[in-house]
Amino acid sequence: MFAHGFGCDQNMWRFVAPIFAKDYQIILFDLVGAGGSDWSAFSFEKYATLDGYADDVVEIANKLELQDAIFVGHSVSAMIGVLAANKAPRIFKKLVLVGPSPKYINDADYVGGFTKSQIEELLETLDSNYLGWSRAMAPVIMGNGDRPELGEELSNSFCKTDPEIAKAFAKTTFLSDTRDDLKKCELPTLVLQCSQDVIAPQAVGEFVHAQMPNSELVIMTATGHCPNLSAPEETIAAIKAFI
Amino acid sequence: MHANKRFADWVKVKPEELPGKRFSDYLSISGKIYVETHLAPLLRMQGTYDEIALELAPATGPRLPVLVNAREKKNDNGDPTSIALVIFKSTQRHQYEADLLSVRNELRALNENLAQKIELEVQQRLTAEGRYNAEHEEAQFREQFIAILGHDLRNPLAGMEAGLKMVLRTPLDEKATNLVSLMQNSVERMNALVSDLTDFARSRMGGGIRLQYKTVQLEPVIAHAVNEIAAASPANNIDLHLDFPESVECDPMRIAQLVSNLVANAVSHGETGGTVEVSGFFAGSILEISVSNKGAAIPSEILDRIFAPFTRTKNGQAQRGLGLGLYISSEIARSHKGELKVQSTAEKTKFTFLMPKIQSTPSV
Repeated sequence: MFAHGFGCDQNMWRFVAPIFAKDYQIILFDLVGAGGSDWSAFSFEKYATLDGYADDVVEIANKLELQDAIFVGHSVSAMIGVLAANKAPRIFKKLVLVGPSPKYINDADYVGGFTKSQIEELLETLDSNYLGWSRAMAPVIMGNGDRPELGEELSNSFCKTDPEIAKAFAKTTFLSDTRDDLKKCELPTLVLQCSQDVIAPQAVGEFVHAQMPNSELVIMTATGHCPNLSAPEETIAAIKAFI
Repeated sequence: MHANKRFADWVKVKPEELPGKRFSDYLSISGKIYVETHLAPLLRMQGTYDEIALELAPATGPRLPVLVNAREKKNDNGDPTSIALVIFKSTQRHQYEADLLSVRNELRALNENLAQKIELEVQQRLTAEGRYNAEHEEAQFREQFIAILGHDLRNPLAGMEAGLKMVLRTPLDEKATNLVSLMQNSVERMNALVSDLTDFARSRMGGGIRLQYKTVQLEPVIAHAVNEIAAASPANNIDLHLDFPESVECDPMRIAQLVSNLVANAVSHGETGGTVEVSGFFAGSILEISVSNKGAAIPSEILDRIFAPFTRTKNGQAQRGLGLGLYISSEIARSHKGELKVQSTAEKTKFTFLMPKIQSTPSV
């Protein structure tokens, strides 16, 4: 099961997931409020904490009668997976966490990567839709000479979102603190850490690895926060080696 | 990152410092996050992305709003090699957007406020209306009841009046004659009460006392009314000064009723044994009749509603009637297109009736 993180939708896995289709059943989904999910099903109360999303993952797993599945979560969904695994231990047998972070704000001697005021600035930006991040983007049919594999798809639709939902999701994500949930998870876990990831810096990856009793840490040469898109081969290789 | 000198100027660094740095190093924190979570993935997925709104964070000074068009560059294998960014300053546009947003938010708040206020107002109105309607209905019912009652009482009273007259024609001893006289007085009083009640009910339901106009000399009409009361109260002195050289168009019965009411009040509420002054004359096109007496001033809280129905004072002689006299008198004044006024001090209490001589012109 592949879970996308903050920002876009299941298309984040389009270079990685198909490779595993030969040997595994692939499950892709959009978090509620993102992509093609039913935006009207978004509840501000339910998704005020990551537990709301974790419950959804458990619900999907139960619906599909998953047992001993492999969960691959990117960014904030990595933690959603940990929470889900803690709630329903038998649905997953292994976890792959790509760029995880249990807490983004620095705290005492914990390095999250951001100061409180930086996160406040981010949330304020979203609040006033200052940069027009979450404007409802008008879909444009791409005529695609350049990327024939995309065919005639709608451009910009990958990261289209409702401004209120984007705000709520950002708040939930960047104010979350799930550090204590890490040590409760004893499943075999692969932590994929990118170099120079602003959002989940190396110290965080190391922290996650240290907290999870049955985990491995792999530091990738890929940079940035989305190796599943920017360095798919390295990502695929790391996952294959683990499972 | 490679960039031209203009970019270096915008972010306030020397061009030589740029190589080795990343584009997102010069962005605000939300810009940095946006690049990683939205911009970079989109570029990878569709190869281009236009009109991205970001903020440059120069080494010194304020942030610089910009618009960015981005394009992924690939080699012959189709692997991405670099990203080309074309950056435009958008300070003006940005300010314009910010202004619009702030106005929009203000309007939204105002709208909501208004909506709430209107809702509250409507609720209050509806409640008030409801109350008014209920009271109005009640009042109407009461007045109808009074009218019916008054009407229904007339017949038995007329019967008694006629009967007593007939009894007087039969041979009676002194005692019986006295008793019959007393009974006639009672019947007369009851008739007066019923008349008042009917007048009251009619005036409330039909808007005013109905008049029967005649052109008459007023002096004898008023004199007669005054004398009737004088005869009944020998202890008082009633000074009559009337000067009506011409005839007047009015309802003489009603004028007499009004004067009677005022004089009777003056006698019963004024100084015991005092003088009551009644005067009537024309003042230009206005006809004026006034009745004054000496005695304690009317308390101001009673003065305020003295012409309202069912208002009575506690002083003076034994209570007579329902407190409708002055109300009906003021309605008579109104129906004559005039008014009834009162002034009351410790020295003198004076009621003045004014009406236009010519009744066919609009009211005073």
